[in-house]
Amino acid sequence: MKINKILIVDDDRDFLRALTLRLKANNYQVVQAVDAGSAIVMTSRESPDLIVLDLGLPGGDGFLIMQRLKSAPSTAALPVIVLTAKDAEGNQERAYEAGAADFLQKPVNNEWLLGAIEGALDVVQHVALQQIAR
Amino acid sequence: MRERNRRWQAQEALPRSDERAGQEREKAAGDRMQLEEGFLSHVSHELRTPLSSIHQFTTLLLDGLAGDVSAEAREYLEVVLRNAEQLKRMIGDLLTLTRCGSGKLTLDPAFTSLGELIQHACRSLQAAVTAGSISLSTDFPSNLPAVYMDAARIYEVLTNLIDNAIKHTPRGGKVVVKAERSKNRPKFVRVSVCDTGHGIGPENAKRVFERFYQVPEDAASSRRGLGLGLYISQELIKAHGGSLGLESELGHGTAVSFTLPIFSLAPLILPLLSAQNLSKGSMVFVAIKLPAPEELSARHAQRYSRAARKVLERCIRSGSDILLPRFDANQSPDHFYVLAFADPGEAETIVHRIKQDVSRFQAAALFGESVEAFSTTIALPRSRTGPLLEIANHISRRIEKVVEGEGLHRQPESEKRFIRQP
Repeated sequence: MKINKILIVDDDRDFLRALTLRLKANNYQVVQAVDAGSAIVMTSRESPDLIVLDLGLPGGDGFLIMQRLKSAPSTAALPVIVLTAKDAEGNQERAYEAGAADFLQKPVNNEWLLGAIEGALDVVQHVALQQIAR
Repeated sequence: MRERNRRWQAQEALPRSDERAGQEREKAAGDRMQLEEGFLSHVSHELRTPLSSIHQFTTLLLDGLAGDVSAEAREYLEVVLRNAEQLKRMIGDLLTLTRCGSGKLTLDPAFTSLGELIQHACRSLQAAVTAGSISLSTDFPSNLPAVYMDAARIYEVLTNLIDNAIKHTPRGGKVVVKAERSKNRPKFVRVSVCDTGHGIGPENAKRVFERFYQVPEDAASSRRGLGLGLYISQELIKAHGGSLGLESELGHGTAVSFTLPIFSLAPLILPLLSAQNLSKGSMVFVAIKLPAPEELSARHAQRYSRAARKVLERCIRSGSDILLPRFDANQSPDHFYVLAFADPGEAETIVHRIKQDVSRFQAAALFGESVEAFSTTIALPRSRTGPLLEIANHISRRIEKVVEGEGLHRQPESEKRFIRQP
């Protein structure tokens, strides 16, 4: 069975550490980035299956990263789950418009986060199967 | 003469300067509110960030991901978690409070099963129930009517009220969440959170809905909160068109009840009943199926439905078409309904236009290749001179009958009624 790789982009190192432990315990391989620049570098270097993305980051916000990812053909279909301490009002709508697969607010319920990751990976798999069938 | 002119100008200028001063005051108040909201939004972000790490590390420890946890340590960690949850709610309350004050409270209503939401809210407070040795139960009929509401906001109200009831109920006490069709207002559902707690006296009962007000005896309690829960709950219920009230007797417990309007399509149709639309004499009801991946999990189905709805929103004509909300619990996530004021002869054109637009706007990977649609005509009542609400109710009943009669989203054979796009 394939082990999915998740890139967590968050500048809060404590949270990054805790979330890495949580995802590893749920059989995901985890890579990390702490700012916008390293998020772009890690995406192309590590080819993750999914990104968990914070919005407020040094060097450019999460919306900018999504814009970059969605405009490049190789990463356009890469699912992004926004996980932020920012207010949902305004940001949630903007995140969906930017192509986020889900929008979750910190502190997050772990069941919701894991459910969102699983759901987003399911869609990618389904789309891939559909393309093969065609 | 010049002097007289000056005086005349001054008299003329007076109301204008008053008006200007009024506008300036209004602008200053608007600016102040915006600043306040921006500040609170920033503070809430700064508070949620460390809280998020506290929450995540506590759950890691509780789940045994950092080694075994003794029973005593588990108990203490549960206390940390419970308090972190309370802090999270308080931060949310502060933001909601600012929005209530600035009139920026936005609702995202949808057809929702109130019963499921009540069960969900009760489950989320299970830890507090166990810690307080209280029994928490629900009491509502299985045919409780659906409500058109912002589920996240009503969930906030329910958790606020239930958490309050738990806090004020001594060990061994009971909290019951009841829901039923309102006896006095048949178009409303009434929800009550009743406890067997200490109750509050009439003087305090009058004041508990004030912002930041706390019952004096409560102030000594270790779990005081901000004194915003009832105020915010009341504002949220009002924004839904319902009302919230409290009945209490010292020593006998408290019941906080609120009403919410039962779901109806009529209020959505009403704004479109212009003379021009009514002169068409009929409406075209279009059922659209945007094929979705079949293995959708419940959570993902919601997300899919939301994305598909966004595409459809761009395909309707404002002023004459309505994209109906999900109004039937059995409606599958890839079925949508559009209502268009049009002559019966225009039905095919409308279906064709929607299909064309969907193909143009759809996200390539989201839907399958084909869009299916079925249309039927609904005649408007012959007499169109009565109150518009009656016409809206008539249309609403007809739509419900069409959906029910055609079994549009339930019976597989109805799929044959869909016209497959070439």
